[in-house]
Amino acid sequence: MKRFFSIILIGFFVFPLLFPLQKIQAASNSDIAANAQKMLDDWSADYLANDYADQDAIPTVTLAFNPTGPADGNKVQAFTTTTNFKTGNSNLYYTWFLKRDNCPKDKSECDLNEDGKVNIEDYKIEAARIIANGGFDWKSANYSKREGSISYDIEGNNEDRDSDSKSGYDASMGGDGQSSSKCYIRDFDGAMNYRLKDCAHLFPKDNVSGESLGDGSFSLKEEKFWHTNPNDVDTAATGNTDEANVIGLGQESFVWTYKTGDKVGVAVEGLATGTDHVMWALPKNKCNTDKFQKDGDFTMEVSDVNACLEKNMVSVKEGTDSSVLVPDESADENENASLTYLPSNPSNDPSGNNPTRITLTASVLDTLDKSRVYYNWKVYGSNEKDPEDWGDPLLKSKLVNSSSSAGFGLDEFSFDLAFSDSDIKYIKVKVSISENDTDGNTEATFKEVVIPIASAGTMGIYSVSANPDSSPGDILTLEEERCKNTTEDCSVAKNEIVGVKINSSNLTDFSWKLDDETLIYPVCPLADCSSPENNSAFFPILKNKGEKYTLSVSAIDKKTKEVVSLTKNFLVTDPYAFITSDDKKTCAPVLLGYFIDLDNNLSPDYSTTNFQALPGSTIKLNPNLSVPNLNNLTWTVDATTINKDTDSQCGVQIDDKGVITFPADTEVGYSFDVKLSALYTQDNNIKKTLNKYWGVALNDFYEKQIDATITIDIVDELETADATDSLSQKNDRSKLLAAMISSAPTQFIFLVKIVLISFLLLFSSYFLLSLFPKKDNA
Amino acid sequence: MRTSNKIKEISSAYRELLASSLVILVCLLLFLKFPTTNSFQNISKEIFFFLIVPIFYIKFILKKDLRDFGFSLPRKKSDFFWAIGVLLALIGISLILAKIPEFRKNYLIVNSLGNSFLVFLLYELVAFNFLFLLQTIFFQGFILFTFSDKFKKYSVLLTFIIYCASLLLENNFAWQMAPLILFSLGGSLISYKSRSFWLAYLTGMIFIIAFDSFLIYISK
Repeated sequence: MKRFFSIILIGFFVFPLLFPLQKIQAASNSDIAANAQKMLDDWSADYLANDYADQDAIPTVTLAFNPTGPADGNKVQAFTTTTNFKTGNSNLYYTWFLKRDNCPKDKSECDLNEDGKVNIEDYKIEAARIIANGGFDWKSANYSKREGSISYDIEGNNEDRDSDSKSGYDASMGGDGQSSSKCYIRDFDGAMNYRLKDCAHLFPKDNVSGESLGDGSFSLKEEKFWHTNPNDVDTAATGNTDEANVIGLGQESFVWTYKTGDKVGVAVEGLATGTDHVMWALPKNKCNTDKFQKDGDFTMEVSDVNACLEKNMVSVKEGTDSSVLVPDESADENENASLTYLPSNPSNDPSGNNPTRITLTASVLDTLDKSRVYYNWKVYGSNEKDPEDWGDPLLKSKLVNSSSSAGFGLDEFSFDLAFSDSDIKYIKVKVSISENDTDGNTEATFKEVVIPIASAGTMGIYSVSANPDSSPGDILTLEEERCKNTTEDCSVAKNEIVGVKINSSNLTDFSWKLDDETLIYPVCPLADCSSPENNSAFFPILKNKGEKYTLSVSAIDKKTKEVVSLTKNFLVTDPYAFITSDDKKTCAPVLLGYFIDLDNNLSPDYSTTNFQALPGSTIKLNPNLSVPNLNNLTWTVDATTINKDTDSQCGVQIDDKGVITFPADTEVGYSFDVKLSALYTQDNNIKKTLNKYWGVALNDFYEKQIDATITIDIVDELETADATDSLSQKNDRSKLLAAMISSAPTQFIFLVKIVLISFLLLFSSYFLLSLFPKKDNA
Repeated sequence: MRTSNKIKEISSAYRELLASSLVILVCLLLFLKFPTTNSFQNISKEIFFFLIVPIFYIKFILKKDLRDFGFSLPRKKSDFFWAIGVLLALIGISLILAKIPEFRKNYLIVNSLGNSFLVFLLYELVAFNFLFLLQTIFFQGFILFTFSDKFKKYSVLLTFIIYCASLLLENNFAWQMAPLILFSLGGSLISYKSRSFWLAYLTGMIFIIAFDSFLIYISK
């Protein structure tokens, strides 16, 4: 019995450790199985995120039309936007269907397969004929034989198999070049994937010729039925064979002559992302499986999916009161939707040190509620302005620091132009926009824009020395580079002069702008301010603390003749200093914790005031100053003030750059207090220049004492961030421990409560039993 | 005088039953209503009210042998025949259950269970197993054998009713619980016949694992 209770007690504390405490929330229903289910749900959500992700990758398709308000006889184009397919659109099978307003009433017009019924098969045939026909005059064609071939009997004798296979296409389940035998359809209402009993395509069925589509052979009978040219293997000139065109291989859009009341739909067949599951995407996601669960049979058939198609037809909305979003092929002419980007002449920074951040904004005028609009952003790259094929979208890893690319209300998308691939001279950004209207119909469109990208080199920022009395052109000189390797705003101090220089020999015709106004000098500080080769610029900092300057430069790329631009922001701050360690193996800032980004990547957060050093090591500290021209730089170590002149007397070294080196010849537990002090004031020549050329009053100049203090604890071992993997492990361990420790008092109080209640219950039952008379043994 | 004697006689005859019924009722109510904020507390609650309190009550208040409440192992061959018979019956009923569209729609199996055999096993043998054992000890052990002396075979029905009532009280009488409701009846029968809840527990585990596997298989 003792062992039994020991096991229970141990299990009592060990069992919860199997599950992350912070993830296990109280199950609202207290049933045992439900609790178990809930726990596992939480647990598996943590450890099986990939499985969930696969489950969530359900292929979808949205439809949009251009124009939105067509008149009878107009050509209308239906566009598709697909998501979550494993392969590119050119590998998918698009089974289009077109229902005319007079169907199904008018049998003679609508019963295209002559089976006595007007149904979805006829609508598919209607669309497939339009796609495959490509304007060919099929009525005057001779379908008895192909040109140059032997005499051919249309009834099937003397088949010309060679020619048949040339026009044919062998379809495989899941799209071109794929092969899978697992077919699923998504029931969006029930949030379930249903496996189909047998895998089969939804291609239109031709009862007249009696031949099936996608078998690799396209006979004359089929040519005749589908209204294709028997002497042209690709009647529609799509690059695919006639049979492939009929089954809709890669047919992302569908153009037809509009009649009032027309409805269009499409079923897109392909493999779902990350799986070998063949799935169909339907525009309205309507395929309620309830109706197909006949006789307790839950596995659907392809015919059941086929029956869903009519519910997925979309009508072309007419008039301006429609909430249909206007698809864009000609952005300028489009009034309802637009796609803009900033900066107007972006450039690529392959080094990634100072990249331009491009921001694209899509706007839709007709939308009622922006948060109901779904945006999906894709970026393509090419070295040509108008390539035949833009290929696959660029991976997110290539779009540095990109914002979320898909979701509701995401009308803005931005990323850093830091392509290491210098072949990318143009990018095409495509945004697919879809919105549910009040009837629950999904209306969609897309916008795309091609943006020239130039490799513009980098903008270097420099301190400046001045000689106000020299001849124009020699007044200002670039000195030490500053604000290097940072994407943040460059800190500058009031009443200093900043110089910039573009480090690229490929550019010419520089045009500098400060805060959107052309940079004008009172006296030209350059050799020739009118020269198109002026890749340098100077400007004084006259704004007050907290204000910003935006300096932009545009230039012409000598090779591509494209305009490129670079931008840099400057923030006016008080001068400040901070101390860093030169050798982090012996002296390093204290690791405070980790920042976690939205992708759960960790980055260490180090203290700026608390450092640790190893006993017996040499500590080397750098003075980091936001501004140049600092005078009287002194260090104070444990209340001893040291400067360049007195360093040797104190057993300390201070070099020309102000770097201090001293030994940590103390024991573990000792702390050094180190202080950096300096006096900031503008250089006299800068003062004179600002006064002479920019009219800055002499009493506007100032002096400022700058201090930075750190504490260095001598420790046995430095605490530094490990490699990424160990960081996450460390993070997990810390999380678990933190969760356990932080929740321990609560759990303990709960246990005390439950133990007390249990004893109360037992005592009450004992008391109750004692109230009842015992059996009289006699 | 005669009435008072009669009351005394009845209360002395049923004193244990009355006290035990009260303990069962309070345990169930505490299990259902005791406020918790996380799964650790949920599990603690179940361990206390389904295991520790009944054991302490039997051992220290009633001063009875735990084996009288089903903690003993089955001994007769016929016990196993009963278990097999009930298992077959449960499987048969569940096959019919699986044909009911409403059930299929509402019986949810965590997606990941279907994707990984390891996770499935871990779920069934660790998470579910542990909690299922506690449930069996309480219903097919403590409750069943509390009533079996007085109500004989009807204690099986009574246990089933109490289980259903507890689900109803928690608004949890749903398709999701159907296999456990079925087991409540079948398991009680096995337990009653074999005088051991262990056999009922074993049968229940086999049934639930087989049933979940079957559903995962046919939904693939």
